[in-house]
Amino acid sequence: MNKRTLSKLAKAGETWVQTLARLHHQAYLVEALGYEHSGVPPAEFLQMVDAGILQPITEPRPANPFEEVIEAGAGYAKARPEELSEMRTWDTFAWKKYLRRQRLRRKPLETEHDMIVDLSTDFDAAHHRGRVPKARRLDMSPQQKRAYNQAMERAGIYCKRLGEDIGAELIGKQPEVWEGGQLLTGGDEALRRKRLEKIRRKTAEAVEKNWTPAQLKEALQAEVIEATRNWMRVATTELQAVFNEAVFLTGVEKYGLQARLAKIPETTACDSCLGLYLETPDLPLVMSAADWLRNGTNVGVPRANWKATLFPAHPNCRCSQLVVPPGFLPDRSGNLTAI
Amino acid sequence: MKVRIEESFPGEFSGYTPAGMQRRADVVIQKAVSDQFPRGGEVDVVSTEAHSMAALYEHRMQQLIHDFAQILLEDGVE
Repeated sequence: MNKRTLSKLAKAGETWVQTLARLHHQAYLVEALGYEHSGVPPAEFLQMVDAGILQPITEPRPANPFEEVIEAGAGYAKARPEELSEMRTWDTFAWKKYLRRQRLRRKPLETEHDMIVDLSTDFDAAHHRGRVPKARRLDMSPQQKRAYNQAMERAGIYCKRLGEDIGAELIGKQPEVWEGGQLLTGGDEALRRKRLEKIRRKTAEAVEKNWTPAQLKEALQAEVIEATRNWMRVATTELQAVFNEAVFLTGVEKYGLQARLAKIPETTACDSCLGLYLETPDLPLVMSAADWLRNGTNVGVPRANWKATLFPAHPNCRCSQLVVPPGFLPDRSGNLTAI
Repeated sequence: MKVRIEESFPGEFSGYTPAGMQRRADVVIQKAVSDQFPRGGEVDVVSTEAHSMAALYEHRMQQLIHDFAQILLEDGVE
């Protein structure tokens, strides 16, 4: 990789650092979510493969994390109360096994016109090694598919903004990225300035003292940790959001808008979530699907006015939705008891 | 051991007394420790997938920093 290669992939007005950060974030989206959700145009995908930023993809990719979580949420919401308490004891391996079994049981769909997007026709035949994979079939209801696509879009936007932010930090500018009243990249301004100053100092020192690339990379490890921490927060929040939506939508499919749902606060939930989602210390608040929908989201709403919402109440919130069948009540840990 | 606790949203800790903050810190540490062990249940699916996405991202960031350092030091400053 060198500046010449990057200049071929640069957008108007971009510095080489910004191009580099953008391309790596696009490459991450391809790897994490699949090509079809990355928003990378076919020609650019091939250029990235040629530049060595991306590996050619020749195998069908497995389900992405969002699909896994949606399928787990839907399976969880479909379970009978007696199955549910057992499912809560499953570890990740048991869940993976369950999801694999569910996929094998599915019948092939008769029409796939809206599920398979063959992008290969856009390519020059000479670019065989950079073949763009076909989008996989999604066995989801139209509502689930809409929720899934929205989550993919949000994740893509966040990731691209992180890329812009990192690109700007490495060249010494510091944008502030806000989303719905919340600072997306870093919550501590003083700490961010300190980190930025450190990057500048280390970079200048590397140039002045003829460091090796490995030495500079080592000196910038804090940047990797910080960026990963920011992304982890986005991933956790968004995955929890699609899980909650999958449970909600499956509950509505089964019982209509009168479906009763609770949100079980995670073991170490914050005071806000305990207040929002528990009616008494041992009894989660149960509301109809229509009421959950009516409450909207808390994005951009002052904390004092927060409501019990399907979407995580705040970043990193891992309180999870539960369908409460008629004649049952949930306890604080999410088990259902007949009343 | 040093533990850094970050607000989940701006102002989360502003209303806390020192004792309240200590209690909150205990909960955050408990959460961080519990993340290191299999917890079982549906929460684990979300947590596992989030960790796998973060691990992939960290790997990609390592490559980005590697390329940045290499180009800066081999191609020179603009």
